[in-house]
Amino acid sequence: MDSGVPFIPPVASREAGPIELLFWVINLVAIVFSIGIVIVIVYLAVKYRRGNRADRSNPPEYNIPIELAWTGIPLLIAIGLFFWSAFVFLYVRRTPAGAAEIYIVGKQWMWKIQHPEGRWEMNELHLPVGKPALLTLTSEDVIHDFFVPAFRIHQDVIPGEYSYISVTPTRVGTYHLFCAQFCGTLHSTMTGTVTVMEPADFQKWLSTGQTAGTMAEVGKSLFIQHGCDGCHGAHTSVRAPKLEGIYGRPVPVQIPRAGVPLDRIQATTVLADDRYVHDSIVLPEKEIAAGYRPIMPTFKNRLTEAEIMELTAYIKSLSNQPAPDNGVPQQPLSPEEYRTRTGFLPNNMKDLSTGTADGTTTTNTTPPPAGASGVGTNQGRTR
Amino acid sequence: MSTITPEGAPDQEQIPLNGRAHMPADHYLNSYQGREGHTWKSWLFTLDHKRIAILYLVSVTLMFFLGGFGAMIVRLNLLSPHGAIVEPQTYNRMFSMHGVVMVFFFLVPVIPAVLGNFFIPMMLGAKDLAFPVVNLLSWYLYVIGALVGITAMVAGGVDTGWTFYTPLSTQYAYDNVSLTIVGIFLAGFSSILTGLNFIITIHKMRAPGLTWFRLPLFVWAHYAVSLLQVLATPVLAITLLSLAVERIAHIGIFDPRLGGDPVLMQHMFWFYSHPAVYIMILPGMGVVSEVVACFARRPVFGYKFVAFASIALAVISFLVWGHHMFMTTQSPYASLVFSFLSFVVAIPSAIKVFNWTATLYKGSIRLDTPMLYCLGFIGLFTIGGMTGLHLAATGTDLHLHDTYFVIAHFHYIMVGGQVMAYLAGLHYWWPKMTGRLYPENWGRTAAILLFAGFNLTFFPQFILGYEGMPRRYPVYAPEFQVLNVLSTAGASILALGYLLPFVYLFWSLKNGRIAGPNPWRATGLEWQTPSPPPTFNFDRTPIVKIGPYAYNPEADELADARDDMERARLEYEETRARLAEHEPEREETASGV
Repeated sequence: MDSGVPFIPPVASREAGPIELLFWVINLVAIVFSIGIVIVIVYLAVKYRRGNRADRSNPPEYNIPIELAWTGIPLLIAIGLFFWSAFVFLYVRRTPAGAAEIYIVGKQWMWKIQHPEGRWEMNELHLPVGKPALLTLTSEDVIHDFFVPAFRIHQDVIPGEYSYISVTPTRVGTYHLFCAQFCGTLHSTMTGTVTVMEPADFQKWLSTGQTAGTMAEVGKSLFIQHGCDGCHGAHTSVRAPKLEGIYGRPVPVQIPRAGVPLDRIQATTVLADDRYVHDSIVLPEKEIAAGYRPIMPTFKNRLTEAEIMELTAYIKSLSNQPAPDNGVPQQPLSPEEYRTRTGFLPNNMKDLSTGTADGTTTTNTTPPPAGASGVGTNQGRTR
Repeated sequence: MSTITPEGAPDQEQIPLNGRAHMPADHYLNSYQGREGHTWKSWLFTLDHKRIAILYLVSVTLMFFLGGFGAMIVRLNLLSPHGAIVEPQTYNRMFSMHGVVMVFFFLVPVIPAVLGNFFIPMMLGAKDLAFPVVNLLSWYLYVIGALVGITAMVAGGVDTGWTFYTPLSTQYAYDNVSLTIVGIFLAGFSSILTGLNFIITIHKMRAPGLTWFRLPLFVWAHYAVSLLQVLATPVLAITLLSLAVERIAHIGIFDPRLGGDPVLMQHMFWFYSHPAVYIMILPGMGVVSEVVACFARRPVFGYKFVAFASIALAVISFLVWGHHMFMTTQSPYASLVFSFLSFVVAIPSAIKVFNWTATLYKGSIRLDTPMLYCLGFIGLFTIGGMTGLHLAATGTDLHLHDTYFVIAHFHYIMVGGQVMAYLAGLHYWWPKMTGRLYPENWGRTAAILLFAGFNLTFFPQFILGYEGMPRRYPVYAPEFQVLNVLSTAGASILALGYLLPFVYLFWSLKNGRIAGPNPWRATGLEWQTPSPPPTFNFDRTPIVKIGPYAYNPEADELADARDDMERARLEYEETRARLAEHEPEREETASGV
């Protein structure tokens, strides 16, 4: 696991090269300045020590040109380093085209890594050499930080948010994976390994091991198992918007504001990306699909982050498909059916039993669900 | 060479030459407002800024040893990659205690509350701070805060680190977080009150003739610090309050499960804590300016640049907090703005380093203990500052973020900077505070020991960080062991280095040579009064005619020669008196033969 040079960690990614170069350039500046100052101090302290004969006539109290020079020159050097560093940063932050997606969930105190092809692993990450990978990261609990010294990259892993970092491994080998953000008692054991393999070996590795299908396939079964199809099924758009074709496109939403009835709020559009899908599942009251009632229950304690990633992969897989006949019911599920299938009935579905089955006329007099507090009553709007 | 006029000058009887120094009969230590000064009441209800400074001195020293204990456990545990002495749980509590105690209860108050409290009124020629009662209140707030904080951390333990990142601190950590927060909250108010007191004192209570550009740079630095304390600390209070509200009432502010934003907490926290870094270093810079001028016997080079650099640091330090969050989901473009400003904030510090160095040019330099600490400060602060560039640069922060590189960087600033400067100031003003000199040779030994121990402790940590060892790891990969062992070895030298001054300064309280009013022949107003000073500092308000650093090496030589003559004369007289005493004996023995 070493680079062959003492105290220098291996350089094993496309990103590591420019970072390493910048590091040594700044080192050079730092060393020149620090040693320079020390030499000058020692020289002056010896030359002008008390009792030593030296020319002490007319000591200057100030010298504006010199002071401006030692303000200006360091400033120029600093600005130069800033631009260099900014280019490196943006270079690392830019995801190369055709990057393979990998999904990573941090959890006290382990890493779960999913490949879209279905293979998943704990505290280990396998990557093919020379092929860019885009890592999508989130956390189940507290803030973690994904750190691979050999790749020279850190990325904070934040609960409730997705963060992204791309990396292109350039050297076959096994490297450290650390959690760098303090995350509780066993923080220091939240480590693992990154194994960079030849592409052929990687393909072989990817196809072995047990999988339950691709992430999208697993997502589809979760979609059915949790009753999502009850409202979002391919042919039902009465209670909830269809999900076919939305991923990656702008969707109209209403963003609730405290004290303002929902039907008075202007619709706006947001991009239906990973974040939108995630928040719609976990915090459905945050953005409400325009024209629909805020009846989506939250799944925040029912689904793990990894499962949400799988559901997202499924919704993503629908993005280019016309609505297929995928065997989901043609009619929305009734609350009873929903309960039988999922074992629970969301609070905000309970009031549905007071309305008609297709939800066309509901005079909603019950207070809005807890999650949507502040949202005024929304007179059964239909599409 | 005096900065005060003949009317204001204490008469020569009161200020004997160094050769014949004696303690004044009445001073702030042995009498308080004309009454006996040794009672508990006279100390605990004192309104004298000097006595309050001594109260702070005792309390921050205790806190320093408590924080140091945490550091000791941490360093010992890191001797082995598997954790040498404690479980990870205990380790986490120890580094959290080390961080909380050192930052909030030691580094923030240490120089302002001890040296600032004692010397700012004296440097201004004032009798006291503007609000003596507020000053005492701020000490009580500090002590209560410290007691609450210690109780929380010792009785139950807090394992969030001093940064209290959410949602770890709100949803996943032990209950003592809330109590610790209360402690820090109180100490924060103490800090605000001290800052407020300083600002008003510096504005309103300068002696006649003491214009802004005749102020010692120590006062300028404290003015900048006070601005930071007053403007930034309330944000810490709000942050901690929000944190407590989320913990207790489960209102979603920072916890994403409740609809909050964990990164918001980091923004708020660092909006205080980055300026706080300058609260923790600017006072040190003030001390260095005083000491370098005194021991080089010449004015600080480029006084105005140094003075305005302090103010510039205070202003720009408010605009760089985002550099702690380059690796969060903060927009990369926001990160670049913060990165740029972080490079800019390096410039005023660089100006100061260059100006101190230039002050040595054509000086007449004596390497006494305070000066050794200051030269150490300049070297270590330069290394700490230069490695700040690695972390201000978004490109290299990608690799160095949250590793031991960061630990080494800020310890070079905080310990190599502020603590070194504090020791410099403490030695420099010790004769003024206590009336007695510390043993010079022991002082120099400790300064050199500390410098060596410090570098051995923290330099290996730069390499460790670059190699990829993350911070806050009780258990680590075996290849990091060699450097960790080196670092622990250095820490043991460092510990010895800190114990030495503690011991000999204590010893000097009774046994030190009597200092006289101005053992360094320094020019500040604080030296123009007996040591220890009387309760109201000056018999007559001094009138200032010239700048703060009117050193004159030729006059020094003359004064030295006069001192030597005086000492020789005294010795001669004493010997003659002794001889006269023994004269009859000698006659007897002579007649006996």
